[in-house]
Amino acid sequence: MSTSTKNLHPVYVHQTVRKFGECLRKALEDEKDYASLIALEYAETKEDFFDALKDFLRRYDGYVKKRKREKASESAGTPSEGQRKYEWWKPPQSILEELAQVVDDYGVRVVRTALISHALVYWDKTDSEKEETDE
Amino acid sequence: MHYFVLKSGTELFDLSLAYGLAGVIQAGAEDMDVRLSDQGSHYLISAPPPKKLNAMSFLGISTDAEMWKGVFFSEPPKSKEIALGKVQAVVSNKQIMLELLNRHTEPFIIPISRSKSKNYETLTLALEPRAFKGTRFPVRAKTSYTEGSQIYVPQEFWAVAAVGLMRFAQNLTWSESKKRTGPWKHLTIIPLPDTKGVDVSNAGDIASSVASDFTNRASVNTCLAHNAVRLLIVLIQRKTGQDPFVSSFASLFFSSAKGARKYKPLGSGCFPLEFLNNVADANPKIALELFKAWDEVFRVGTLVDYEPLAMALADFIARPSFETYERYVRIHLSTKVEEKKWWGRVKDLSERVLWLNPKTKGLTYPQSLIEEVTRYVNLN
Repeated sequence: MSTSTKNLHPVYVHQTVRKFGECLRKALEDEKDYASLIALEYAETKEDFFDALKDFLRRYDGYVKKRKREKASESAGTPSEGQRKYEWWKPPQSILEELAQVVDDYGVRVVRTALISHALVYWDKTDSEKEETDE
Repeated sequence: MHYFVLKSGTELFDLSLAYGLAGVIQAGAEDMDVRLSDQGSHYLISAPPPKKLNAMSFLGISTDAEMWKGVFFSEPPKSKEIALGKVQAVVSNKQIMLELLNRHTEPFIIPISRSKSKNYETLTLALEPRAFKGTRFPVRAKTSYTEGSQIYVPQEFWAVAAVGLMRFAQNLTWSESKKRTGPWKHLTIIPLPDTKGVDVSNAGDIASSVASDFTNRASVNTCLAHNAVRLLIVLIQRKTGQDPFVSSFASLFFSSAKGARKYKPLGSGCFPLEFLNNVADANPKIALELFKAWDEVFRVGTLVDYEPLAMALADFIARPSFETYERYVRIHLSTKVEEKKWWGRVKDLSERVLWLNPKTKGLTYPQSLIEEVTRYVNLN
């Protein structure tokens, strides 16, 4: 990917950034993972940024497992529709390598801003989680 | 038929005079199409031929003191009444107005005087901020300080400019203290037409519908940005409502003053509308949703402690760059994170909050809006 692109749009719509941004949004909204947000915001170098992302993925893995357990306990009983929990999509380890390529092309600040922009997007939880479970 | 208002360097006075003159013609032209545009060195008014103008009845000016409050805000109460009387006398005089219109059929330099003469009026702070301290002369040989002299303009130009300011400008006055006892801040906002021009018959309606709603007053910049967003909302709604001629504005001209007993000028300038116009031209439907969302952000930004949100958004709208966007989204996300703190306070302001959606808690964007905004965030 060339750096001749003049605006933030290609970074924002990049598939890897979009997936990662969605994970950040879920972690912030449902799990109040503000520690990851602070670590991402204060990362200046590429190394710091990837350390923060690795920490975030580790925590996110915990959230995914937690939801799996909750779903298992729900299936034992008969929860109402409003209480029903859906599994989250778990990003593969290769997502960091893909993101590293985008950071090499655009820099830490640009990628971080695109991720934060994704965290501001309205999220219809039931719809998106249903889709992910289907996948 | 064309009428010219040559720019003299006193921006607010020139613009008010152009608006006032266009308003006078429009009032007498029986709903004919009168357009005002900025042509660089002068303002151009395109209006019907003179036969119809000769038969026109001149402007019936409102004597409602509330409407004139902003025009003579820097004057003491007695002077306001006298000034309003003079404006009425001049503008309702058909002969004076026809002579004035006749003079403006060709470009000419408006006579500005440094000494008080008969039928000349002082340019006040409301009509031109840079005239407030008058003009100064070189005092090489003198040892004593001189205040400079006031600036005077012929009464008919002064009166028509006052009418223009009353009909087409938005005047906001607020106190920065919690007790609302002063010092007072005053802001005059008047949209600057672009080269395509504005339809004078609906420019007044547009200005009043923008002025009728709540405005964020965290700072002069947020006030201007919020006004700009609401102006574009009104323009897009008119455009989608099949308005035959939608006015287009290049920027918002503003002049601000501050004072306890007597006002002093704070500053003046232009707030650019280029970015908002570009978004609106590219995709009116998405732009309307985006501007409504920003309107709501400015409303949340009126709450104490959340002014930085409104200020960051205002900076981004004025200067859309990667730096301003990055600052805005970071502050927006931290405000969203704290939504439990402010959400209850927003409900208390229910009369101010019209669009905020309880389901989304207001400060989340639909995917398509953010995606559109990122197209305007330049990385170079």
